[in-house]
Amino acid sequence: MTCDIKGLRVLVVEDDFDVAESLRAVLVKAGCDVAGPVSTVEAACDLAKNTPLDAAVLDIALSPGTSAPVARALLYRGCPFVFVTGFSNVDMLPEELRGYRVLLKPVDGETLRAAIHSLVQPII
Amino acid sequence: MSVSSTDPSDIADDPRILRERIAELECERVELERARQVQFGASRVLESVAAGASLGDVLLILIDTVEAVKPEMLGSVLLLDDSGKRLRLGAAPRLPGFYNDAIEGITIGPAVGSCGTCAHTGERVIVEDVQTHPYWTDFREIALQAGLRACWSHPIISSTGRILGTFAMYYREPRRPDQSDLDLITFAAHLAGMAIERIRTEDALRASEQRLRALIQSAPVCIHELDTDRCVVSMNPAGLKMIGLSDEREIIGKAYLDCVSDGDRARVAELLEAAFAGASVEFEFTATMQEPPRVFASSFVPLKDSDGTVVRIMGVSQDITDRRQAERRQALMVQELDHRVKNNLAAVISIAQQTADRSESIEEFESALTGRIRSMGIAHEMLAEARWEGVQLQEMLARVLDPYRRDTPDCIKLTGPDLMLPAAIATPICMAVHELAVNAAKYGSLTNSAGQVSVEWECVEGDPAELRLAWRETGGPTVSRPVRRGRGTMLIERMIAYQLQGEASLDFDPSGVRCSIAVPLVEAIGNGQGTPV
Repeated sequence: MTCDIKGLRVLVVEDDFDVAESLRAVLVKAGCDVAGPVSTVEAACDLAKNTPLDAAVLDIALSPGTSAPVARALLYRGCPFVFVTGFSNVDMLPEELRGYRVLLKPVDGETLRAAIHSLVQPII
Repeated sequence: MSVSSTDPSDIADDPRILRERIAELECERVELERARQVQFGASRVLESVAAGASLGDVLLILIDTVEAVKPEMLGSVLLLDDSGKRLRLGAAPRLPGFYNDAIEGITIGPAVGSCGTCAHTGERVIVEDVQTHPYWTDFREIALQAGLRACWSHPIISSTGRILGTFAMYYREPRRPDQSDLDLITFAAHLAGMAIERIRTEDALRASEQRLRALIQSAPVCIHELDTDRCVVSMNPAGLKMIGLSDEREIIGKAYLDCVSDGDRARVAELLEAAFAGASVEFEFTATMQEPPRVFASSFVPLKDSDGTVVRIMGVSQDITDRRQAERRQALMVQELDHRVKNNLAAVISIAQQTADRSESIEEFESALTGRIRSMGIAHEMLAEARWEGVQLQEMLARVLDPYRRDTPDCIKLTGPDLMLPAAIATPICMAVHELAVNAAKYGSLTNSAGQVSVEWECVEGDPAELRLAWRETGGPTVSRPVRRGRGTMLIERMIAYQLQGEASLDFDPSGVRCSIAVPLVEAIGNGQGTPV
């Protein structure tokens, strides 16, 4: 089954320019409408609270801080998200956020598309 | 006074009885005098031991005493050495030197003169005439030369039953001991045993104390003692140095818990009480003696008196602040490295994709990609050399621009203060400058020999401070605004804005490309003086 995520509006939070560009390129190719990418907690929270979103991709470690406030804002409005990280553990995250799906860098396009697809699948 | 059975009334009547009585009294007087001499000698021996005299001196006093009681007697003390097999001279002041030399180091055995046999068997050996006794077969000649005939030897036994040596009485004529002789030799050997044991114990104690003192004085850890008031009573030099003091008096009498940080005080107080209750404890705490406070790994060991009461606490502490910092730094470094490696792999994939999108041929793709990865590599290499604590901007620029100097080293000028860039800022700056250089070598002032590039930077004070870097090309071909921006130049403006929350503006001035970059220095940085900002 192909993972059709066409038309979804996806927030990308990633502090590395090149990685952000790569994530954006993958999502744009898959037909997504990308919100961002943004590199700071402030800008990400603004988008998470104030724009329509279907899903989000969050780099855990931002400079400075982590994307935990962004994840909380998304949880509050019921927007699903997936974490992306270069670290092999999720110790940086507060405990209540450790159960969420984490993709390890580098993330290939197929994995990212599949992850976003599973986020927005209706639960039957 | 002894009680006489004779009726005093008879004495006056019978001169014979009187004479006998006088003789008896004279005997008693001599005995008493002898006993007094022995007692006096014994107290002299014990006093000299107490006064810390050497073993040799104490034994001389002992022999003097015995010789005073028995004037014809020549005394000798021999000591068993550590091997337990050989006798060494303890003291024998009236025996001839050659005789003492001859028996020095003699191996004990079942028939080795009086003393060698005595030390071997642990039994008293009485030889009335050395010239006829079988134990003396090997020593008859030398005994003759020394003018010795009788030799009685009594073992000196320790309180634990170990043979320490022998006490011997020599006479110049063959002689059998009477009861007073046997009593005296037994007493003298006993006294010698006490003196030897006591002096050896003290010597051992002194040596042990010396070792301990040397250890405490030289050990590179803080060794201190606390009294029952929980106050410091001593501290070794390393300990004083560790807490920034030069004189022990500055710490003596200070309450130990006053040196412990507020956060640790209750816990350390509990451990201190446990130590005074007899437990050995180990703990870590932050000390307040210095600013900034330092972390110590410590232990308390209770010192007890003979009743088992804890009278002192011996404390040993080690400053582990640096170790803790190093551990933390290392953990951070490993984490940072892990993050960076994975981010870099992600970035390489991204750069490859973007480069491929904008390259017209596979050769162009290859050269652009390797150049970009190389610039990442330079930043990475310098960060690794600096243990991820930052890189010198000047050196990083020199390395990344070096391949573009070609045959004219002066074509690139770098001007600016020493500036340590934090890791997060170094890589994007390095890549931006690389992209500018690639562009200059392709279209700008690095295409001809007259062209020049100047890179100037400054650090503008503020909160946060700002790095301002200006790239200026001169002397190259006339610049026209490119129809299609390459990935490289586009990257500069966007990457600086995106990743560093800074600003970059690229100006395609006809006289040469200019680029100005302004980046907030948000992480701790170092200036030229090496002090952190």
